[in-house]
Amino acid sequence: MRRPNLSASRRAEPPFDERRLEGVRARRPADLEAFFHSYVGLVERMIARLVGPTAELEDLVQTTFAEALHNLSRFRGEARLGTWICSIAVHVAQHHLRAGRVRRHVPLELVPDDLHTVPSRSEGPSARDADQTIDGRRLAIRLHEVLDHVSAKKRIALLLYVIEEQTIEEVAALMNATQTATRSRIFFARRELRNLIAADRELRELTEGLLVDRLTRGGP
Amino acid sequence: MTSCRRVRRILLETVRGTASDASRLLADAHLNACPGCREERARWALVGLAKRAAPQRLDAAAERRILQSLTHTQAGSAKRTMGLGTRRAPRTSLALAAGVALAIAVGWFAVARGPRRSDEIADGFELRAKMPGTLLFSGAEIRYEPGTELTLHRATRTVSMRQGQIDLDVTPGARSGLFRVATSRFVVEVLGTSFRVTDNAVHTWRGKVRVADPMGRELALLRAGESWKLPPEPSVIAVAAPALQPAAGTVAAPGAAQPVVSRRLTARRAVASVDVSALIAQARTALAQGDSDTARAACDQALRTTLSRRETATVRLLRADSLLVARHFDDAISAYRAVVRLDPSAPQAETAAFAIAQLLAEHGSPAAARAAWEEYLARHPYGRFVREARERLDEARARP
Repeated sequence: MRRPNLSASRRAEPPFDERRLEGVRARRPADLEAFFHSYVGLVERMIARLVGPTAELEDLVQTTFAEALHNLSRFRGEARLGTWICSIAVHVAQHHLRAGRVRRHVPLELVPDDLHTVPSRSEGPSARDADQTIDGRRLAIRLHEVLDHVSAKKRIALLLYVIEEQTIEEVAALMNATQTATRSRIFFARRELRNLIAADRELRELTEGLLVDRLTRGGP
Repeated sequence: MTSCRRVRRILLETVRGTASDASRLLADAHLNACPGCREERARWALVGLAKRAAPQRLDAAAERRILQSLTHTQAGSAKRTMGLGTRRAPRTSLALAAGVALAIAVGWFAVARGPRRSDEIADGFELRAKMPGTLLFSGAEIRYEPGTELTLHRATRTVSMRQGQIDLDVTPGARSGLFRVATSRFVVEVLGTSFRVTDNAVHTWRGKVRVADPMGRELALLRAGESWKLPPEPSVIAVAAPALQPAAGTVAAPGAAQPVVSRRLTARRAVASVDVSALIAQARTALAQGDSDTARAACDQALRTTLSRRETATVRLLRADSLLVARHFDDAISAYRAVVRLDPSAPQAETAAFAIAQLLAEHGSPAAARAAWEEYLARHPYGRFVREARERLDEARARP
């Protein structure tokens, strides 16, 4: 299968020149550290988006980097290094989801500092922001719990497309699939997610709340 | 009029942030007249809200641990790397063959010299490592890091690890019976495999290992390449009790797992009583070895001192665990209930609530078990054991 050109990616990729890449291949500590710091944010974000809040994030990021370093000799520079590492992260996430043992409990040390000290409602907009952040986080947990019922391939295709805003071509390349298969996975994942949200009491109530909110505001 | 199908595609593009103004206007006109599509929009609005939530991030310490581990792994043996192997160049085959021949020769020499080093290790051998090193024990090669403290029990093929990190390579069939690594909170059992154990995690490189709690209940079954991590409870913090700290001058190994410590608790731990921490550690060690009397005595002694709220919950939970190990099920249920009553918001209360439901499911009436599962789910809708609790509740409901 011909690989699509992913150079038009919207995300800025940290620079990593060939000389440093050689250093990583030779396992020079300074280059290894630079390589890690250049891509750890990207990998964390990708895995967190695909797997959802989990206590195993650290293990998954570590596995991704271990696999990347182990297979670095295979990287031929056809795609950007960031894209190549993201494809490994996608595979690690897929493998993890297929194992079906995602623990949704997030350890305290993984929760950002600002969530430890939630201000009271009387403190104004900042308090509301913090509440919204927590609500968004809870909602994300619930949605990922619901998505646990969708197969790993379909779920990842949908999340890459909707949440990560990748194009069909990029999703297909990251998942090593054809564009037709990717479209099909997204279509079925959408349908399953719609049914699962409708069947979930908590999410259904939230949906109804949003519906009422829009109607009372008079907007479409 | 725009079709529902087209509008739903526009809604998806809106969530992605790629819908044009023109298509959104088209959709708005349709949505005024179509309740079905309005519902669909509300569903996608939920996804949009979740999308706006910042994704989970690792803290600097976790990133540092990963980097140390990667550096350590790359510097160590090739066996430690996971995944598919790289294609070997043909010219390396000669060197490989020479290496194998050398290994066979060295192996034969080592065997011909007499007993292995492990045979010279007395039962109950205790290690407090200040330098990294390797031990051969009961058919296993144990590589330890500085700061590791362990005891070897030959009769039971058990390594009791109090702290630190060890990498093990257990040869299948070298000795009869399971090889075990017991920490204060969990036990790892293997027949023959290569794996790593730290204070709070296990990673398997080859074969399969079983992780169980001190009571023998299975926590995880790990295949090659899989990892397991102890759920981070405040009780884990006490593993790093002052009494069990490495000797002065001991340097933490690169890649060694750091104790799970929440920022809020760090300051308080600094002023915590040494005796209480030591008693908690003693109770855990005793529980890991199945000695419920010693564990309970340590807990009772700790409860007679001045404890913080969290320490009280930890000690009471350990005491309840000791009753469970001693098979005093009714007393254990009462003790777990006391933990829940004492501080319902504490993480120990969640563990206790789950234990109550499990005990009632195994030793109580089905109705009581159902009520306990329902109570657990009501109290902890985002808890650590929600999925299992739901499954067990469904099972309980399915029974007549």
